[in-house]
Amino acid sequence: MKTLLIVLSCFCTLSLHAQTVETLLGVEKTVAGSALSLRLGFATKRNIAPGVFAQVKPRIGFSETTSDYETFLGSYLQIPIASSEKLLVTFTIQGGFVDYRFLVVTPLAETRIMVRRNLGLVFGLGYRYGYPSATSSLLYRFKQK
Amino acid sequence: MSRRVAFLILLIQAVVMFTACEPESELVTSFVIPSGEHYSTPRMFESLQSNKLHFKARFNETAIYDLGNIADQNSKNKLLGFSDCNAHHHENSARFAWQWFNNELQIYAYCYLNGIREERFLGTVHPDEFNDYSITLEDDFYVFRLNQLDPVKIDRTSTCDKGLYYILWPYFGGSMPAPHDISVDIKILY
Repeated sequence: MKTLLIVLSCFCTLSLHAQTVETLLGVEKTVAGSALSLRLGFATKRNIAPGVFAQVKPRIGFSETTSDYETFLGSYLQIPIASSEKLLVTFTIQGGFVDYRFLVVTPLAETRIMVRRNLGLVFGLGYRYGYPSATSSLLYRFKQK
Repeated sequence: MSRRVAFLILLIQAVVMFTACEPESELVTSFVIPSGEHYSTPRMFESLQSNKLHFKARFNETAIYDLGNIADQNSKNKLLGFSDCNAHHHENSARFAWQWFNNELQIYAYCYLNGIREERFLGTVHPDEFNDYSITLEDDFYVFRLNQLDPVKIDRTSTCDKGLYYILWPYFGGSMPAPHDISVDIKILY
């Protein structure tokens, strides 16, 4: 509870300074199957964006002691590498717990293409389960005035 | 950038994501322990991401060795496993171990429980064939399964639950290094 309060207060502070609130809905294809992911972050003027994410993946062929779905919840930090008007290349580090138990940290390199002012497509390559993974997401930005 | 280009990139990405991936069944990693070494290559870092480590492994004729004395020959080599929650693997861990002993390839459950080692014989396997291995992590015990043999339960002493469970890769020894290049194929099942 204490940790949650600290994390929430950090995000509240960041959201006050953030230029943009970002949401990403996407799919990550891994060697262990495809996962649906949702991300919420706060991007600064320099496109540095901390945030939180949730991932859900159907589990295949597991014992009766495990649930049918694998959850991966945590936070991420996105750091821009290169940018132009409509393109942004970023490095993202995600860290969290799978099934509320197993600590996992994964890197992700992503390219963002803004299709409209607030709408973009995000493609990325990551590393999960010891193998490369591919991500594809839809981005929506809520810009602060 | 035009919408057409964005659409094209999306299309390429979709094709790559859903058609071009290597089949899961082909994801076999060949580990080699070079002569005179303990650690295998490739060196990897990965953490456990579910409560079950399930894999297939295939030894070959390089798993046959003679160390010259019974004490060393009866020393367990490590196949695959994981350290328990936030613990060093010599404190709390669960692994499969193997040895060439009495002219057979013997497989063991090999654990550290609060720093005390526990070994249990599971069965024998033949070189040049894939065998099925799994370790299931329960709250109070580990369950080791080798092929269709009876599962073996070993009490778990770690009280930690949430944290890092790092994978432990093939290792030769014991105290003696590999007498020659030893290779083993491992396919982790997700």
